[in-house]
Order: sequence, then C-alpha cells, then structure tokens
Amino acid sequence: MSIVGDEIKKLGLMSMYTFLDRDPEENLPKLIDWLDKYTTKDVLVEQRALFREIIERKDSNWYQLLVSLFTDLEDETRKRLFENLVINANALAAHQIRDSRDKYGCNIPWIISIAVEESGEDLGFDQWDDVIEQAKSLGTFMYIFLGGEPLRAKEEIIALCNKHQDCEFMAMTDGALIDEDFVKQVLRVKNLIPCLKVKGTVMDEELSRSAGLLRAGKVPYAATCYYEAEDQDLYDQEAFFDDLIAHGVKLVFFESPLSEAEDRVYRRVMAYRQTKPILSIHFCKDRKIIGGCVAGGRYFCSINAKGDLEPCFLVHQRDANITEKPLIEGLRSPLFMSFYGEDVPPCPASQGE
Amino acid sequence: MSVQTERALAQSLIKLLSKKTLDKITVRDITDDCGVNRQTFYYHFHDVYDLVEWIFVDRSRAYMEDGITLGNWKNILLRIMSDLREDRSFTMNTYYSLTRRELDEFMTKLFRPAFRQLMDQVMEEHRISEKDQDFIVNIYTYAVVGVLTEWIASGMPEEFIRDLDRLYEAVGGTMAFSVENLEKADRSPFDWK
Repeated sequence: MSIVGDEIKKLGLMSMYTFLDRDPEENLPKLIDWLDKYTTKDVLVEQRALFREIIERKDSNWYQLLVSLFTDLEDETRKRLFENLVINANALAAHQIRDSRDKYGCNIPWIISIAVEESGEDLGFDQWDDVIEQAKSLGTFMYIFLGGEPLRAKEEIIALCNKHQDCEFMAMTDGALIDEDFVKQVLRVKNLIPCLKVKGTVMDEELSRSAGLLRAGKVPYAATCYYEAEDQDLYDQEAFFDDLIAHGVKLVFFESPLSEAEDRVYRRVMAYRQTKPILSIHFCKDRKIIGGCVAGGRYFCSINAKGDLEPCFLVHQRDANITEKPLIEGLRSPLFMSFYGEDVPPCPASQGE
Repeated sequence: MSVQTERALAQSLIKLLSKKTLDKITVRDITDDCGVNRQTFYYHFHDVYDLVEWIFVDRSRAYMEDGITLGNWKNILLRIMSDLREDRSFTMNTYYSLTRRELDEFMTKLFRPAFRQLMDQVMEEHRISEKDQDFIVNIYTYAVVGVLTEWIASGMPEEFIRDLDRLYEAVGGTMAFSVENLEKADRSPFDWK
C-alpha cells in the first residue's frame, strides 16, 4: 500500500471514528461493517469475529465494557487510542509487518517491551528513541515500558510518548510514583496507558490510590499480575476479578510460566471472559486473543535495560544487543530465528509440561 | 521542566532562524544551542513544527495579555505587524518553510483568540447561537490571516502598515452588524414583538 493510500485509509477510518463518537450505541454495529471493509480479509479474523459477537448482544459483559470506554475515558485520549491501536498498529501496520517479514525472512514483533530503567541503569532517551525509529520502519507501533520501575524515568517515557505520537505505549508500574502531575502528562501526550502491577494481594491501598487518581483523570489504565504455583490462590477467585472491576480496571494481563493443565487462573480468565465486563488476556497462553505464546518476535520481543534482545521477559536468553547492532539483525539472530516458522521450540520458561 | 524551558527552546529556534530556514533546522541544532538534551526538547514538543506553533500561540497570548477591545484592536494589529517585520528572519524563514496549510493553521492560532474576545464583547448586547458566533469569528480570522499572509509573501512592505487605516474604515463596526443580521434572520415573523 502506498503512503497516499495509507493516508486516505486513515482519513476514512478517522471519519468513521467521529461518526461512532457521536452516538456509540447507535453507530457501533455500523463501525464493524466498515472495519470489515477497510482491513484486508485475513487480518485479525478472530478478533473481528469476537467484536461482532460483542455488539450483537447488547446485554453482554462485552457490550457494557465497550460502552464504558465512552463514558469513562477522556475524549481526546480515547480518540488517540483508537487512532493508534486500531489504525496505526493494526489496520496500517499489518501489511507493513508482513512486507518486512517477507523482506527479511524473520519474525517482526507487533509489540516491543523496553526495560527503560533498572536499578539505576538506563540506556537513555536517544538510544530508545533510535530503537523505536528502527522498529517503526519495520511496522511496530506498540511498546511496553518495563523496569525496574519505568516511572523513575518519568521524563524519559513522557518524552518518548510525546515524540512518537503515532505509537501506543504502556508502562508497567507499581503505581507508587503516580501523582497528579503524572496524570496531567499522560492526558497531555494521550498515548500512554499506565498498567498497575498487582502483587501478592487484591488491589492494596497503594494501588487503590493510584487507580483512583487515574480514574478521576479519565485516563485509560490496566492491571497486570504475574504468578507462580504458590500464588495461584490469590487470583483464582471471583472476588479478585470483581475487585479489579470495582477499581475501574478494564483490561488485565496475566503472566505465568505454569503449564496449562496446572493453571487454574487461566481457566478462570477464560470463564469470566464470557460474563464479566473486563478484558482479561493471558499473555502466555491466550490462543483466542493473541494466538498463543507470542514470544521470540512472533508478536513480541523484549529488550532489557542493558540493550539485550530477549524472546520474552520471562525468558532470559540473549545473543544480540541493540547498542551493538541494528534491531533487524537482532531479530535475525539464531536465537530469534529458532522461533521463526511453524516448528517452534517449547517455552523455555514453562514449568512441567 | 517549565515554561522557562519552552521559552528558552523558542529563543534558540528564533536565533537559528536568522541563519537558516526552518526545514534545515534539526532538533539537535536547537538543543545544542539551548544547552539541553533531546529528551528535554521532546518532553515539551513533538517536533520542530510543534515548537513553531508554540511560538505563535505564546505570542498571541502576549498580545492579548491586557485584553483586546473594540477600542484597541487596531493598535494590537499594528503591533503584531511591526513585530513580524522586526523579526524579519523568523517570519520569512518560517514562511518559506511551511506549507500554505500549515501557515494558515499557525496564523489562525495567532489571530482567532483576538476575534473570539471581540465577539464576546459584541455578544454583551446580542444573542445568537454559539455556532453562529464561531462562524463570524472564522470569517474575520480568515480575512485577516489571508490579508497578512499576502502581505508577508510580498516581503512585508511598510506602506501597507501606513494604509491600514483604509482597512479599519472598511471593517469598523461590521462584526456587530453581522451579528445583528443573523439575529434578525433568526427572529420568526410571529415572534416580532
């Protein structure tokens, strides 16, 4: 697709958004018809089918969730979210990623996580800016800031978001550094989603405080839980999901190296997806939403605070560093190439499968 | 991080514009001149054009500081034009680097707030819809932006400033007149009492 073609496609999609924004409940079904027309048939097939299912059942949990995006989020931020996620990162990036994959013969990630800061170590704005520029030219428009604690590098992440307005960013944070100024900056840049790390218990006092500030600012935010076998009981509970919903969380990620057979939380995720107004995604296992494990550049790659390219933030294997060579060379390194194609090794982080 | 940083970056850009056109100036040039890093620049601005926009908005704010009235708007327009002339290198280098559309957008940022304020004063004695007010404010903004852009394109001749009186004669009182016209048009024939 040419650049002019892309611009026209974008204009079409944005005017569609304006139309939707005017009366979401009335115009949502029309939106899906349009989306089907605008994106290539083989792009996001599952996701689109899911979306159609949502809007056709108005009493469903999904429908409630979708409508809440219009009541609970600041208007301009929601618009940017749509522009970046639906148009830039999907409708337009899909063919760009495919072209890059064909050209270079390797996986091109949809999402890159960046450990922007870890125990005082930080490669700095210029280095990460350069990585993002390289990745954008390949077709990657979604980024996750990991740590340490990314909010310790608050000015750096805000500056990256402010420069790359056509990308969507997420920051995995323990929430302690979220204050009114941070909320103000997030509303200014409009393309950063804070993601609260839930540890140990259901939303504690600190996380409740952070969620409260974000909610009052009508900022989109998410939650994320990492667990191993001994923590399962904390999340394998209806009360946990209800508590997240009560705190205004609309999107929650789960990560766990447990095998599918052992993973009780995963089963709960699948069950509540049918009934509760929250989108929960199991990062390691979700076949329906993200097509199973995404590691190794298939949809995802992770860069640690020293610049090493890793197939996943749970798998600490490395053979390329972005301070030494271009990103594309890292993606074509033997480690990442072992995840290319149909014959992919079993997850190195997975326990007892 | 504050308005001071934004102002310092603006100063650096204006300084650089005395030597080269906008399209030749990089963020690195600006941050080197200003003595800050690229992160600081991008914390505040998306790109160089975003900084140019900020300069226009900041100036507009400065001109409006004492409030604009039906009595003083002529002097304010005179000041804006004199300043554009005085900053010849900034004005001309900006003019040559922007597309017509971008220039219109920035000039609109400079002038629209003033006409909006004038409208608020006219509205103290009239009643028309918000939409109609915006419509009239736009007409005046486009007129002045169009006239001034042409003036800049022709090298900002001083005679034009001397001839401004003709413009004032031509448009004096017309905003209130336009508002009245719309007000009359809205009144239904059965509602004339």
